[in-house]
Amino acid sequence: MNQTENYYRGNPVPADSRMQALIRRSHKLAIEHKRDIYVDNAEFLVYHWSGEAAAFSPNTGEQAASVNKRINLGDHNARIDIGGEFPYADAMPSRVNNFEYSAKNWAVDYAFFLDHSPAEVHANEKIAGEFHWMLEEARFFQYPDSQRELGKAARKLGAGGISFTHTAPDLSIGLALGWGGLLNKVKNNLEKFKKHGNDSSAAYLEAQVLVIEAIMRYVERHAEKAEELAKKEKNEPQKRNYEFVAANTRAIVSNAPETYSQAVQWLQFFTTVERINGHGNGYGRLDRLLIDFFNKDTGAGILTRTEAVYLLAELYLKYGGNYWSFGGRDINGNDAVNEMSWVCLEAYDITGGYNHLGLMWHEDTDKDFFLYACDVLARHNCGTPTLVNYDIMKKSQLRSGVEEEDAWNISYSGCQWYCVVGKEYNDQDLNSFVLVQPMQRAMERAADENITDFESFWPLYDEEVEKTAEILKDFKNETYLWQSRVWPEMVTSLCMHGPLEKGRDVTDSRAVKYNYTSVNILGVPNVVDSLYAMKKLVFEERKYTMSELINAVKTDWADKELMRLDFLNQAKFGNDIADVDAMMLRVAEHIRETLESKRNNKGYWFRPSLFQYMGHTYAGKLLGATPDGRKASEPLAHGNNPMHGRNTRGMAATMKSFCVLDFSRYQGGSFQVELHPSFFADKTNKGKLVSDFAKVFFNMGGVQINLNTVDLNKLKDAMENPEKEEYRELVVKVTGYSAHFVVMDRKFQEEFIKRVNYSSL
Amino acid sequence: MQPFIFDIHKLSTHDGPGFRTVLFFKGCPLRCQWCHNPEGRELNQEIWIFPDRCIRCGQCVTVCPAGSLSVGDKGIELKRSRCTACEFCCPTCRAKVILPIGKKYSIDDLMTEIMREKPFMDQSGGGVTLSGGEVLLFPEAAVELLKRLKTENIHTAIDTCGAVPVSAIDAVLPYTDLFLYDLKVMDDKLHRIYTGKSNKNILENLIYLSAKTANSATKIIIRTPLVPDISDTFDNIRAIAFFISTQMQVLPEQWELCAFNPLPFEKYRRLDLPWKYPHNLMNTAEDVQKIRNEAIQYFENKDFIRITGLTAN
Repeated sequence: MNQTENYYRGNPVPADSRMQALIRRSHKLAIEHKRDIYVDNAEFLVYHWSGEAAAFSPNTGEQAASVNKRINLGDHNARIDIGGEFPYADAMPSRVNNFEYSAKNWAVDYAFFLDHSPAEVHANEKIAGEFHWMLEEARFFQYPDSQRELGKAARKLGAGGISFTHTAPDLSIGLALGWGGLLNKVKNNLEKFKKHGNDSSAAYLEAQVLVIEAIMRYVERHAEKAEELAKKEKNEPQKRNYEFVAANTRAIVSNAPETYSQAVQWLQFFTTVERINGHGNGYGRLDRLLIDFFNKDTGAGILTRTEAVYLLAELYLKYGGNYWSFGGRDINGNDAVNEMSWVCLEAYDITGGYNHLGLMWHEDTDKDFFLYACDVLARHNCGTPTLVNYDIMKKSQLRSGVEEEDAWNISYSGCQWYCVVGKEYNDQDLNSFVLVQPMQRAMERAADENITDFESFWPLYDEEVEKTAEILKDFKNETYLWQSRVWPEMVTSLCMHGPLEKGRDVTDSRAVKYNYTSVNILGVPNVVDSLYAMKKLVFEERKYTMSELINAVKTDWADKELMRLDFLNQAKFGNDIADVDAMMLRVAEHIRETLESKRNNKGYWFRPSLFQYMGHTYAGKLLGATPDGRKASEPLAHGNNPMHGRNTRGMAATMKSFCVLDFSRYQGGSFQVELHPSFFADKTNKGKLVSDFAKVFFNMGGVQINLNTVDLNKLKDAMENPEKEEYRELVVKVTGYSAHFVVMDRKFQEEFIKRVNYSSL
Repeated sequence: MQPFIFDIHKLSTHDGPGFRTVLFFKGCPLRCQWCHNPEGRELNQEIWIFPDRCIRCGQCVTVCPAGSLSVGDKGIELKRSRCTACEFCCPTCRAKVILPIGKKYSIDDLMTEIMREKPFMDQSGGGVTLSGGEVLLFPEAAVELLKRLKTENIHTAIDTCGAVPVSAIDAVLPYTDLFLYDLKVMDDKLHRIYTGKSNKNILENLIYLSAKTANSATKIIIRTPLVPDISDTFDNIRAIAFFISTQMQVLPEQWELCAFNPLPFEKYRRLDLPWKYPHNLMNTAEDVQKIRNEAIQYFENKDFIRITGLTAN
C-alpha cells in the first residue's frame, strides 16, 4: 500500500470530486424515477404472480402493464430508464423468424438483444457497463396454458409464484477463467456431449456459445467506445479515465482479469449482462472474491487503498444496490473477515444511500469490524448493511440436507435469502402461500359442520392448508418442467458448479447440487392472532358463533365495532404471552411440516420462509377483514413481525415472542425495527447501541434484522410534500430491500407509517 | 409491598449507561410548572382519557356511579370534579379511551418485567433506573427492589428531584450505583414559585450525598432542565456551576443540560390540565450551545457537561 496514504480501517478518504459526481448522478437517477421497478398488480404482491406477464412487470413492450395500473416498488432496479421501447424490438429473431420454447431460441434472442444494447462509457467513470432495457421487454415471456391454468387454480386456494430465484452464482469461476476461459469450458463440454451423442446437452451448450460470444462482443464494444472517447477528449484527467476504462475492458474481453480494477470491472459486466435478462440474483461474498486481487495489487504498489475503495463504490453505484455479502466464516469455521471486508464497507461508507449489502454476523466476528458495520448502519441510516446471522443460516442449510463441505460457503443473496454459493438453485424469493385463505375456508367448514371446540376445528384447518400446499406443489412442478425452455438463466449458469459440466441450464432439473423450493408465508401473525381470538371467543367463552364471525369479517365489521374490539382486545402475538406464543409455534411448525412433506420434481422438498416482502400491504382488498380484529383496509402483518401496533410490552417481549421459533428450521424470517431518531439522541456512539441491540437478537436465535431510524411523523409529511429538498435523500429499508421513500407507491408509504416507531422501547 | 408504577420504559438510552429499564413511581413532592410527567405527580389513582379513540358506545356512562361521564360531540367527556377514580368504567371501555394511569405491582412482577430485559442490559452495560414522580417517597419499596436487582448483578440508578427526607437517600445508598440528581432553579424564591417548594432541602441533600459518595463507586449525574427564561438563564446556570464547583466534594460524573420541548402537551390534554407553554417553545441547538459555553468556563474538565434532549433538527 502507498505508505504516504494516511489511512486506517473504518476511516475512508471521503469522496473526491470524481466520486462526488458519480454519487450525484446515481442519486439523480433514483429521484427522477429512472430506476423504478414495477409489478403488474396487487395480485402479484400477494400471490407473487400477476396472472399477466411471467416476469416482474416489464417496463415497456407488449407485455408491459399500463402505466396507470402497475405498482411502483421504488428505485429497486439496475435498469436505467432513458425512455421509449427497445428500438430493435420488432427485429428480434424470435419475431422475425420463429418463437419456440428452447434455450437455443432464447440465446439467439439474447445475443441479438445484447448486440443492440448500447455500450456506454460515462464521464468520470472508471467502471463501465449499464443497460436501459431488459430482455423481457422484447422477447415473449409466458408459460404454456397448462402452467397458467394451474396458477389460476392455485391462486384460488391461496398460493402462487414465479421462479426467479435470488440464487448466488460463484463468480470466482468467472474471475479465474474470464469469458474466453468460460467459452473454452463450454466448447470442451460440447465436444464431450457430441462425442457421446447427448443431443440435448450439446444443443444447450451450442446456445451457450452464442451467449458468451455476444457478451465478449459487448465487452469489446465498451473498449472501442472508451478508446474513441479518449482520443477525442481534451481534458487530461478525463482522458485518463477513458484510457483506464479502455485498457481494463480491452484486457478482459477474453482473458481473465489480472488486476483488482479489472476484477471489479469484470464483476460489473457479469452483473449487467446477467440482470439484463430480466431479474437479478445475489452475487456472493465480495470480500472473498476480491481479497487476492487486493493483496496482490497493494503489495505490488499499483493500487492504493483509497483507489480500491473508490472502485468498489463505483461498482455499488453502477448497479444501484447489489446483494453482495461480507463476513461469515471460512471453511474451517474461523472468522472470514479480511482486509477486503473493511474495504467493502468503507466503499459503502463513502457513498451511503441506497444499497443491499449483507453483513453475515457470528459470535466470532471481528469485534471492531462489526462495530464499524453497525456504526455505518446507524450513521447513514439507510438500512445498510443488512445484519444476518451466519450460524443460523448455515444450520438451516445443514438441517435441509446441504453437506458440511458446502454449507460453510453460504451467502446472503437477497431480501432475506441465502444459499450455497454456486451450488444451489433454491427457488426462493417469489413463491407465496397466503395462510389466511385456508383459515377462511376452515371457518366456513366449521360453521357448516357445527364444530364446537378448537381441537375439532384444527383438523379442518390442517386439511385446508394441505390443499393449498398440494396445488402449489403441482403448480411449481409444472413450472419446472418448462422453465429451462421458457426462460433459462444462461449467464448465471456460466458461474455455477454443474450446468456446463452437465450441459443443462441452472433452471433445469438437478443441474446444480441443491434444488429446494422456498415459499413465503403471508399473514402468519394474523392467522395466529385470529385463531387465538376464535379459540377464546367462539370456542371457549362462546360469546359469538362462527357464523356471526364469518358474517362480521365478510362485511368488514360493519355495525359490529364492539364485536371487532372484542376480537382485537384478545391477547396478541409479540408480547411474550405464553399461550399466544404457543399458538405461533403450532401454526408455524404446522405450515413447515406441511411444506416439507411436499417434494418438487427435482427431488427436493419445499421450505417455508417466514417473510413476504410487500403482499401484506395490498392483501386487504383481496382477503377482507380477519378475526384478529383487523379491518380490510389495514395491511396484514409484515412478515412474521407482530401486527402493527399490537406489541405493547417492549422490544424484549417482542423479540422473545419472535424467537419462540427455531429459525434454523425455516428459511429466513427477518425482524423489522423502526427506531425513532430520539433513540439515538445525544449519543456519540450509535454503532455501539446498534451492535448491542443486534447481538441480543442474534443470541436469541434471530436470523436477520432490518433496522430503520426514522421519524414516522416526518414520513407523513414526506408523503404529502415529496418535493421538499430534505426528503430527497430519505432511504428506508422497506422489507428486505431499500428504496427512496418519496418514489415508492403511496400504499407502501401508508403501510410504512403505520409501523411502530420505537423511541424508548 | 406494592409500589404504584405509572409507566415502564424499556431500552431507554437516556437515563444512565447502556440500555435501561426505567420504572416510574407515582407521586411527587414537587409541582414543577413544566413537568413532563404530569400523570406521575399525584399519589392517588387517576384515570386519563383518549377521546380520539371513542366510538360513542356509551357503555362507560351506564356503569359510572358518580355520574361523571357523558357522550359529547368529541366523544366521551369526563367531569373530573365528580370522578372518584373508582375505575369501574375502565374495563367496559373496549376502545381503550378511558385508561387507569399505571397500577400497583408486586416486586416479583416488576422483577419479571425487568429480567426479560436483562440480555439487553448485559450486552450494553445497562441496568435499571428508578424514576418518577419521585421514587424516594417510597424508600421501603425502592430498597426491596434494589436489593433484588443487586442479587441479579444489575446496575442501578435513582432518578431524584432531591426534595426528600435524607433518610430515604441513606436507605437506598448502599444499593445504588448512580444518582441522577436534578438541580433546577438556584434562586429559592423562584424555585418556590415554579416548583411549589423551597430548594433548601434539595441542596442540603446533594451536599450530603456528594460527601457520602466521594470515596465510593457510586456516581452522581446532575441534570438541569433548560426551561426557557426560568432555568436557562445565564444567572441560574452560573449559580448551579458555582454550587457544583464549591459545594460538591467530587466533580459529578456529568452535568446534563436537558433541552426543553413541548412534547407533554398531549399528556396535559388527556388529564384536562392546562399546559402553560407555547406549543412551539423549545431551545434551539444554538441556544443550548451558548448555555453550555457559559457553563464550561467554570470547570477545567469541559467534557463533563453534556447537552441532551434536543429534538429540533
